[in-house]
Amino acid sequence: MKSDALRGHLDALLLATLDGRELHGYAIIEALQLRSGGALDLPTGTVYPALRRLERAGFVRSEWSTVSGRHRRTYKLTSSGERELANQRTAWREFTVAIEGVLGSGPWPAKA
Amino acid sequence: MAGQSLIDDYLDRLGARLDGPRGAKADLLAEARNGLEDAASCYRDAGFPDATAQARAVAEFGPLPLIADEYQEELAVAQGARTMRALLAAMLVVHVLFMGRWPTSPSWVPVLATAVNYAWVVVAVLGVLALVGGPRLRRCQRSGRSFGRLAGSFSTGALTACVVLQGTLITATAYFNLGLLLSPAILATLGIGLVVMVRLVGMTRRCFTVSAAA
Repeated sequence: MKSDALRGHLDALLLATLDGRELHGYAIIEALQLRSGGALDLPTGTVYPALRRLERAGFVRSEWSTVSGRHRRTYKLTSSGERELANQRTAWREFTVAIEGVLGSGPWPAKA
Repeated sequence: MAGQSLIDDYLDRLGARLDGPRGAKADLLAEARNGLEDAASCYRDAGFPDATAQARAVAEFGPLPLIADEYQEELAVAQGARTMRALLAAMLVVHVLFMGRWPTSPSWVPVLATAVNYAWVVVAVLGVLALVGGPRLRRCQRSGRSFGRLAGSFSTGALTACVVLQGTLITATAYFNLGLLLSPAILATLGIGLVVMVRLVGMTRRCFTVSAAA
């Protein structure tokens, strides 16, 4: 999947990746690739500014800490981020149902 | 540079494209280095030679113009927030330094001094709101640069108001009570105010240049 198609969904994907756990930047990228079966083709360098943007929005909190013996910035969801993720999931389900209704139903029946 | 690793070279070129507060820039680049080294380490663990592992990590990270553009958004926010904090702190200090120092006649001078006090309260409230709320704007893709420009515009307006209002009070004091204006305490206060003003003008200008960089 190309990065242009992903950009509009990147914030929601990052929030979902952080759901229930605290991760550093590269672990978030690995989790995204793992869950998508490697289909998400995104310049990894765009993930870090996106995480900062989410932090500015109050959806994630970050801190420098030592992980596996290395100094890394780790991120976790705030309560506001959890609410935003729930909203994004609801909006995504509504969107996919609507699109599936149009794209997935085949040709219109022929007029009698 | 000869002898540098591919990751070092990439980060040097990324750093050269970025413009903004030193601390924020170093923090972004440190995180980028961690990500690149993690990626290269994964490729080395998968059996790739070091040079290939680094080349793959750099290629995955993304083209420099795209990455620099996104990082610059964050630096614009950092510069804007820094300027707003400095502006609010400076206005508080200058206000306290000048408080109660103006002549009491003619009658319009105390009225103007009171108006200046209220103006500072309004500017301070707006400034705190912009500082707290501005960086949270995220819907617009260019929200970081927008906040940087907003901070620059706000600071320009506040500094202009400061020059006009305080300038009027200083001129009135010079006209009606020159001795008071030339007292060591007032001269020292004016000197401090001038230094603070010059520093803030520089920071305000940086808001616009950092928001337009990369």
